[in-house]
Order: sequence, then structure tokens, then C-alpha cells
Amino acid sequence: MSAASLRIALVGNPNCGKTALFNQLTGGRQKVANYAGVTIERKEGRFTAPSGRVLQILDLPGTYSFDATSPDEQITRDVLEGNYPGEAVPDLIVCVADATNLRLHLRFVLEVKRLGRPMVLALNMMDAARRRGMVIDVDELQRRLGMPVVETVAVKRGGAQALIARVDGEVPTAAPAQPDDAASRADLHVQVRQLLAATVTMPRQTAAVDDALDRWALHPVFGLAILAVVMFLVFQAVYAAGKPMTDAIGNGFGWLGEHLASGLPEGPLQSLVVKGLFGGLGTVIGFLPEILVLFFFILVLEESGYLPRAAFLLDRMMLSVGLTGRSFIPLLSSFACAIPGIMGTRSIQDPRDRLTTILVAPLMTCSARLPVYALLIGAFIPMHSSRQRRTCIADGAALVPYAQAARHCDRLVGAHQHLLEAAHRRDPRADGADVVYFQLPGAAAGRHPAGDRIQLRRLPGSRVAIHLRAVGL
Amino acid sequence: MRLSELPKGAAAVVDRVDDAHDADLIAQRLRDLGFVEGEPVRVVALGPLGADPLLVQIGSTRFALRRSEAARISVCVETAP
Ligand SMILES: Nc1nc2c(ncn2[C@@H]2O[C@H](COP(=O)(O)OP(=O)(O)OP(=O)(O)O)[C@@H](O)[C@H]2O)c(=O)[nH]1
Ligand SMILES: [Mg+2]
Repeated sequence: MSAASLRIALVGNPNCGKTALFNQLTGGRQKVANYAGVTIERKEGRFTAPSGRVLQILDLPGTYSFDATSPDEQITRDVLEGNYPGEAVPDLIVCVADATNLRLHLRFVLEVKRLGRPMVLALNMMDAARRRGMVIDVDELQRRLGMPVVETVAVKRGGAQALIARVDGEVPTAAPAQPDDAASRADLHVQVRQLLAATVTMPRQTAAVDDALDRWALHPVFGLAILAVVMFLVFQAVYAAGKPMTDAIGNGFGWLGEHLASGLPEGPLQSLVVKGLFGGLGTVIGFLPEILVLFFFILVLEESGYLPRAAFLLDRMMLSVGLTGRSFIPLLSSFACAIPGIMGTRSIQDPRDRLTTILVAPLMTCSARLPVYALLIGAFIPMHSSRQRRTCIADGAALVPYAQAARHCDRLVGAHQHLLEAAHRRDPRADGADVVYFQLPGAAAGRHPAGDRIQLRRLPGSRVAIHLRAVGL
Repeated sequence: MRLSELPKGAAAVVDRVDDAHDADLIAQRLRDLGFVEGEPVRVVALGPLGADPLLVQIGSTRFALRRSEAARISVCVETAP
């Protein structure tokens, strides 16, 4: 570490924009979302200030007080106290506070101040505060707190200029450290009230829009109905929006494989290219649109602030199965991927609740598992069913030669009558299967009423392969 | 009066937070969150099942509290309804 580098830690209450500020300063891409407990681990970034000095910025989990009750808060406390293994005490603490919510956030600022370390207060979300008509007398706040105070808007380009200028300057001198005991804790609230009275004018407590939205979103009946509809739409949209793209990708790769293969002699190499490379790639990449659409919706939900509300509505129900409303967010994000879901449980305070959520999270179907399911279904679900006539088979991954497909089916359905017929005639091994056709105008792929899909492709050497993607019943 | 008994929408002022047992972490956390004497509180919404949890607004922050947690907070109703 060069002498010129300065270690800066970002601390503050949960959801005040520390990570947004960190990303803004370091150009990082750490996760930002609108609920408490997003950051659950210390993250480090570097940033070269205009003066040429290298600043090492540390993003930390949000914490309401130093009385850490959850593992993520413990990390913040350990780092600030110098107890974090391999981590020196930061040279400068940047305490981030949500300007719209100073009553809560200033208390923590005062708590940090007692550590007696050089610190700067960043009043973040100044855009939201101004919109609400709040006026904050920064000079007065600065004087009363005895530390530099800067205004920031972490979500706006250039919104951290004042902070950069401040931390690039001289390190402010620290107030003397003060002991932390029960009596002085109660005192903090009194100090906060005095500070607020002297420096902040607030026309109203909350935004009127939020109130109106919450009246509906948290209504005992409509709230639950809205939640059900939102969840239904999200998961429905994954397939509604993802399927056409998936089909296009599958078809594209199939087409590409055929065209490349037509230049190759028939044999293992051609089969590797057509079935293995392009068939396989088409199927696996075909799931990408579904995954992206799901991620998109989870992102929208996270940023909208709806998730804590859903957690509120579901708390009692989750309680009856031994979970808590707080489990909802990690469980929902486990649909995107279980690993961040499990890590997200760190912000659950109760160790038992945390463990149960961790154990349940992997049972959520993460989107990357869809191809695996398709593969396993193809491998383990028997093709023949004695109880019912099987209209077609599912293979999930590869192009299946006609005869092989036909042997597993009682009926084969498809859009391309002439191809199916020709193949049926040519392939004597396929006897016994009943061939049914239906025609979709101009479509290359047919959709059977039962919902399965068959694709016929002319392979080099005029064989016909059938690409079946879903389980047909 | 306990915060858990406060009707929805009624304004009240926090009196104190009582420890349910020795070294009550939840009570300590509630105090850290700002449930201290003299702070105005309001119950904004109630959970759909058994009116649990409660959504409590203190200042401009909203916290969801379980009934058992809200019962630790004693409040005084400001004005007669
Ligand atoms: N309007 C506005 N929104 C902001 C600002 N800074 C952050 N946000 C939003 O506030 C929310 C929380 O931001 P984060 O950066 O995740 O907050 P955090 O402090 O890292 O939260 P934890 O990691 O949970 O402690 C996100 O929805 C951000 O988009 C700001 O200056 N103005
Ligand atoms: Mg964060």
C-alpha cells in the first residue's frame, strides 16, 4: 500500500444508498436494490481522485446500530473496530445517511462519531429530499456535528462530486472518542431531536404518493390479490416473453447446424457438429431468454420497493410453515439463482429463521435448472405409457432420427406432412406408429394441441430428424 | 396502552420500550430504531391474517413489527378520539 492511498469505509443504515455511492465512485457494479440488507459482505474498490491520490473504498452492509444482531451487521462493526481479520482500521469513515429519513439515520451517525475517528457525513438522496420540499441547513448541521457534511445523489451521474472533492482534500480531524453505554444511548435520541429541530424543515413526513400506494398494496384483501397477480404475471411473462425467443434461437442453431453439416461428409464428425454442437448449444442457449426475462422482473421488483411489502403481507403465512416474511426476498431471488438467495439470508436476524430459509432456498427452481430438468425428464421418464396413448416423446436435447422417435410414440404429429410421410415410408423400423398431421400455415414448427412441439428437419442425405422439445402426453 | 393495541390510523406517542426478559435484544433494537420517549407513532397497516404483523410509522420510517414485538412498546394516545 502506498503512503498516498487512503482507506475509506462507507457505513450507514440499510438502504441509504451506500452501494449506489460505491458504484458511482469506483465504477463498480455491486448490487443495488430497494430493500434493507442488500449488501451482506464487505466489498472493496479503488478510485483515483482528481489529485492523483488512490482511494480504497470499502462498501459495508447497512446497520442500524453497533449492537449487531445479524451476521452482516457484525461485519460492519468488526471492520470499523479493526477486528476484521486482515483488515486495517479505515483511515476515513464516510457515513451515508438518507436525507429523507434523518431522524433514524442521524442516530447512527452520532453512534459512529463516538468511535472518535475522522469522518465525513454524506447526505444522500438529496433529490428525493428536495422533491419532498425538505430544507436542510448543511452549514449548521456541519457546525453542530463537528464534521464535514456533503450532499450527494448516488443515482445521478456526477452526484458524488461534492463527496469526491471532500475526501480528496485533507482528512478531517476526529472528535474525541466517547464511551458507549446505555445512558448515553438514550441521550443520542435527544441529540438527534435537537439537531433536527435546528437544521431541518420538513413539510410532511412521507410522500403522499407512497401513502396512497401503500393503502392498496398493503390492504388485507386487495394487497394479497395484487401480490398474487404480480407473481402470476412475472412467472407467466417468463414463458410468454421467453418462448418465442427460445424458439427462434433453437431454430437458428438448427438451421446453422444443417447448413454447416451439408458441407461435411456423413459420419461421426457430422453427427457431432449437428447433434452435439449445434443441437446442444441451441437447447442450452435457448433457455437464456427465459432466464433474462426472469432476472429482469426480479430486478424491477427489487428496485420498486415492492419486496418488503410482499414480505409484510406474507409474514403470517410464512410463519405457519416455520419461515418468516423476511424469507420471502431470498426465496424469490432463489428463482433467479439460489446462491445469492442463500447469501441474502444473512440479513435475517433470527438464527433459526436464517437456517430454515437457507435450507429451503435451494428447493426453489432456479432458472438455470430448466435445461437440466428437460434433460432429466428425457432420460428418466419412460417413453411408453401403458395407460395412455403417447402422442409423442420428449427428448429435450438432441435431434432424434425419425425411426427412433416413431418407435417411442403411438402417434406422431407434425406440421410438415410430406416430410413425415416420406420418412415414414422410408424407415421400415418405424412401423406401428400412427402418423397424424396438422398444418400450420407457413409454419416450420407445429404446435400440437397438447402443447408439445415437433420440429422436422431435412438432414443431409434426405433423412428426416425430429426435434422434440417438450414432454408430450 | 401497548402499541399492539393501538387502532389503525390513530396517532400516539411512544412512552417507553419494556424488556420482555433480561438482555432483551429485540427491545434494544426497537430503541435503536427510534422507539424512544416522545416519538410520535402511528399504525399504518395491519397484516392480512390475524392483523399481524403491524406496519408502524415512526418519523418517516416504516417498520413491520410482529404483535409480540409491538407489545413491548408502551404508548400514550395524544388526543381523545
Ligand atoms: N432517489 C434516489 N435514490 C437513491 C439514491 N441513492 C440510492 N438510491 C436508491 O436507494 C436504494 C438503495 O440503494 P443501495 O445502494 O442498495 O443501498 P445500501 O445502503 O447499499 O443498502 P444495504 O446494502 O441494504 O445496506 C436503491 O433503490 C437505489 O436506487 C439517491 O441519491 N437518490
Ligand atoms: Mg448496499
